[in-house]
Amino acid sequence: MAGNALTDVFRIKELRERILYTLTWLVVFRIGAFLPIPGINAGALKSYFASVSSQGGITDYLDFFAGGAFKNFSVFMLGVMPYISTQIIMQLLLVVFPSLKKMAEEEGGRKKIALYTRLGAILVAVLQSFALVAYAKNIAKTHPDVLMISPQAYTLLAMLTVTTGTMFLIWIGEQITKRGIGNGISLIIFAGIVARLPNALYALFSKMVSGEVNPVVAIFVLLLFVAVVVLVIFEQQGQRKIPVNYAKRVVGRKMYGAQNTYIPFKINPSGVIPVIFASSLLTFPLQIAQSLGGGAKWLRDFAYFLRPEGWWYNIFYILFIVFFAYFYTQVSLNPQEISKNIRENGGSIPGIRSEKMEEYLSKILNRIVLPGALYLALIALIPTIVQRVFNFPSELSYLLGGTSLLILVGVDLDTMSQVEAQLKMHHHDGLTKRGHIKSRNL
Amino acid sequence: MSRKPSVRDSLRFGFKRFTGTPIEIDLKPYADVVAEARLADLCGLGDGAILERARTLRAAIAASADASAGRTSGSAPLRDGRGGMAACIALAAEACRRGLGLEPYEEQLIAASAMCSGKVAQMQTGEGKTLAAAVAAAYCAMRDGGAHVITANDYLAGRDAEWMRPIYERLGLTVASVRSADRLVERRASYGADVVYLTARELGFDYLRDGMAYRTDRLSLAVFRSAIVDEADSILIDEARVPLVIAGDDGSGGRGADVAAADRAVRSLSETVDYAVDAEGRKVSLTLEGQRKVEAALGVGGMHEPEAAPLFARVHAALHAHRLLSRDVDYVVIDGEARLVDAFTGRVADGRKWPWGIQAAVEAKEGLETGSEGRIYGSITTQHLMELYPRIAAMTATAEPAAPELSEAYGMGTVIIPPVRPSRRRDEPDEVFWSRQAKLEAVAAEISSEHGRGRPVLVGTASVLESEELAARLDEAGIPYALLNAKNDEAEAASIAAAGRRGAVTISTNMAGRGTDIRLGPDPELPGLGGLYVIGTNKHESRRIDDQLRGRAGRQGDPGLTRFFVSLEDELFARYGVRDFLPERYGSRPEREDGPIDDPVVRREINRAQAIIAGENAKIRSALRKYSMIVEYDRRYVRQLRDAALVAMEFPEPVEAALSRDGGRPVVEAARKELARRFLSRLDDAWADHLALAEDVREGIGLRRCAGEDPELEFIGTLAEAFESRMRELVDATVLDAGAMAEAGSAAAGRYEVPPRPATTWTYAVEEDAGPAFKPGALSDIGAAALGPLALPLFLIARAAGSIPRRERKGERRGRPG
Repeated sequence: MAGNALTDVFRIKELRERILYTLTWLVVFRIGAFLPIPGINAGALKSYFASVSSQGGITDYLDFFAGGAFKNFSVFMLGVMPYISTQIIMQLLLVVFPSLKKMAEEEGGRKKIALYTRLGAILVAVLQSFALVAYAKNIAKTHPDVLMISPQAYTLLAMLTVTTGTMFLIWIGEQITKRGIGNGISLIIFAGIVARLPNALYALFSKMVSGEVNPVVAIFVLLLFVAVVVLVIFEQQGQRKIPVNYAKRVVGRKMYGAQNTYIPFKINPSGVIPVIFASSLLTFPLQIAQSLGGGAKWLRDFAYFLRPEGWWYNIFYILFIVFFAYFYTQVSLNPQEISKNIRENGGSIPGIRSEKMEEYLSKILNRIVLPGALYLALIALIPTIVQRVFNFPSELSYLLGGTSLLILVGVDLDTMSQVEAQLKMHHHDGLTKRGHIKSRNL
Repeated sequence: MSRKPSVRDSLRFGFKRFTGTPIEIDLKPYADVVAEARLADLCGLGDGAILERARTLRAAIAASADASAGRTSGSAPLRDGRGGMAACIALAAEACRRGLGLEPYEEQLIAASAMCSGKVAQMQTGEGKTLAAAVAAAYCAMRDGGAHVITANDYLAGRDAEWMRPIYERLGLTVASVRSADRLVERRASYGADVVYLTARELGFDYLRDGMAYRTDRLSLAVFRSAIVDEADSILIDEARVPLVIAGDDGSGGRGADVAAADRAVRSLSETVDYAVDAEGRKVSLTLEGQRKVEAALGVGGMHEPEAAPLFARVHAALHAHRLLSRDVDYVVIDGEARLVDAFTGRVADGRKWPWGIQAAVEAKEGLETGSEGRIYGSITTQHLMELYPRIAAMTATAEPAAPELSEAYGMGTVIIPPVRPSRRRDEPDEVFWSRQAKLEAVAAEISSEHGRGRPVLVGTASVLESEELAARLDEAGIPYALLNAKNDEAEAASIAAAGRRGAVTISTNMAGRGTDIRLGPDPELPGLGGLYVIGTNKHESRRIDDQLRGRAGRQGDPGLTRFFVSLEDELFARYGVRDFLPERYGSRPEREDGPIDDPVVRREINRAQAIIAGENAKIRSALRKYSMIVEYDRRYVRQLRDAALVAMEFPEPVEAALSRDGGRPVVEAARKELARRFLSRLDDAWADHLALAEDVREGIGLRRCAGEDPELEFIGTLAEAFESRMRELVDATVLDAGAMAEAGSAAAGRYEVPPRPATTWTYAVEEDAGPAFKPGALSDIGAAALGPLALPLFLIARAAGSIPRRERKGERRGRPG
């Protein structure tokens, strides 16, 4: 069946073109990720990063989202982050300023907002690139061989290239969304994570050769990894369906769509968000404490207390994940709002009195969220466990961790469902004698 | 005149191009064609020679088109690179000179040339679009073997076909028009012509009826080759939202008692306590209190109980009829029938009904006899209808604001054609009033003063109701006027003909908007009086419609004046809540309620309200386009199966296999015929069910967002699966029949009663919404991931600036002593 679907994918011209288009641009992205900023000595930089071998630090975090482009100091070192940041800022601004929201609703308003977001992304990219330039210059203070040109020239060149690189990447992402398959921006992050897998496996292999990791253990952990992926997929797909009836439908004819009209509640409605919130909330003070803690003993103690390998870090981690899972579910799936929406459209839940709708939905959500959150925490803890128990290289355990797995599986499922929709859309192409139906706007 | 765009236009549109707006102002490619056409000297030729040349050219053009499409045909293809466009335009221009005695303007020919290239030509009102379309249609008919000119209404279809006939005849082309009163025989004959003038409605319904035919002699034979669409923004954008639906009596009458009960129950309810209307004024729903009252009134349990659900559906329909639809605005009652008024044209829409039991509820509300609700047998949106043409081109006076959408939905670029004579129309700023009464008062006063000077005045009102209110005021003032609305549209031609005369006052609804040509009367003083004065009493849902009304004044270089009188109580602004956005000083009510509010802030808010509503409509259209795609794909597939079975009596592969099975006797013609009859009947039934399913699924698909799923993709998935299993069932059933027939070698294969065909059919005009716009949580998964790094730049900047002393990491510190 799988093979069949795969041939179908390439049988349909449009789908084939979309996929090839997407792949082409992803290749461009990967090439760019190895293209260093002019004036930077990539070799020297590598040895510097090797010498500071940070763990779970902010550079790793950034590197993770930029698909390894960060540590290369490549033209794509910021990845698509400035764009995502601006998107979020824009969302917040829309909430804060009603006049902006009004503008967004006008004819052509969404285009305007998209334009502003892009312009904002340029600004954020300039700011961030400046910070990164400063960061590199800081490294150059202790490792002068990192910079090959004068710092002034470097500052200008680097900011220019990184900002341009980021905007180019955003453009690629949008092109993929428009003409390719899947969400381009997500796919770029996805590709960045996947691209690091071979490297991580190589690190594991080296450790096996050097005898630091037992090959049997390595195979066991890789199997565990597959098991976790299965778990994540299972968890992402799990739903509780609550049937809904709309009044319009009942008039005059049979009810056709009854089994298709329902509220789907996911086991894990909040996806990867609680994990990311929890980890950034925990690593950030840690990072600051580490940076500032030179003189003060209590800061050093704090940093030690909250070290990622320690118990406390992980206990807080779990608590935060559960908390954010509840919090996010409350925000995004508000029973009051869902009920209001159903009522406004003349709908009802069969067997539940209209005024009891909120209560009923809250009850179901509460039952779902706790197991879902614990599940999420478990997946998120896996890298720490693997690293501690089996002494795995951090690159690999990070990839096996909750954040990356949830992103990988999430983006993958999204893209798959788009491919599937395309397949279904064309399911009877070529079945008629007169040949293909021309498709115009797809 | 200069063919080069002015610097100002270059800047304006140059920037638009940069931001991706598909507007062309460089006319050179089209002007070149026209210049080439001018070189041909045809004056000396006799009529017969022209005809002969046209015939030869037609064969050559068709051959070129065939060659570029990879087909071969008898004649040698043309080698001029443009497929004979210039030669054809030259001939058509000559035919126009001789046949109509008119010298076509350069601008008209340029517009025609742009349309021959599949563009939307923006031509100002009164610039002779009809003629430009005729030239383009002649070329398209030669190239594609036939062309349709899609007009705004029936009247124009008939008028333009007759008017342009001399041109076509001199080129050896036949021309015809299809109008709603035409019978099938007439339609069949008309569709055989080279150029056919008709409305999108007529075309769409002929196409849909063809999709229900059981005999080939019942087909209208409309063929889709190429089209020139007049009033493009109206037909391709505004109306694209209204699907053409063909529905039939499903024998489900006899629920009048329920409808009446629901109607009674609703009458005693009051707004906000018992029911609520959403902000856009599109939906009305019962509150909990209202539900209790209805339960008590009808003596049923809650709407969550399966038995009570149908009754509650009637209650919702009744609420909709009472609260959201008004007599003499949305419908008129004529001859004991509630007849729908088309919101865009202001005319009674013949044979249109509201869906979902709303029609019956309106009839109950007005105390009329309630009819049957029916079942939908076929539907197509105007957009998909237009997409059936391999090539389309279009024209309108208001293409520019619609250009992005025309490009997005149809892939058509817009070409702006400059006017022949610069417009002498003046558009005055809006007069804004607080209350509707003050507004109407001011309009009446303005009419009376202008009428006194003898200047012709045209007033465009929002509804039948408003036109009558204004008429009553003029009666009081003793001013003679002509009233033109959906109730007395028979007087249309006479009213319009007189509207440009000295002292004429014409009060109209949208009917006198688009496409109406008001010529100034013969009185030589008229231009001195300032020409026609157009007063709008309401802003429309789109500025384009306002502009169309304005365009009635100042035609072909005549002077003219336009002004809108609006009030904050107008439906459009009340719906949007303009008052809530006004500055403090308008807190509750102004001191003088009757005077105009002269404040730029108010004008800005008004324009903004209009822009927002236009934006909402665009969003709905875009959603509808996406949702209708899968249904359209399936529809085309069903249509292919249907046509094959109906015309050629060919069936899908498995059925054919069963028919020609080894051992079976050869199937007689009669058996194939019987099989086709059964197949068509089952196919139509399955398709009607599928349409009902699509509608049901779409209504609830927004809920899928609760799981972070994309409703659009879910919709496609659900429908595709349902469609496939339906088709499988259909084919299986037909295979059984075919097998039985092959065995018996005759048509006698079990009993099968073809269900009765609907006795009457009518059409629905559905103002569709895109389903519940339910949006939980604004943040996407990956979006949230960025929140962490968001704080990073600040941190790194601070660190780089040295305010935060950098502390080496453990490993590094160990490596460096000191």
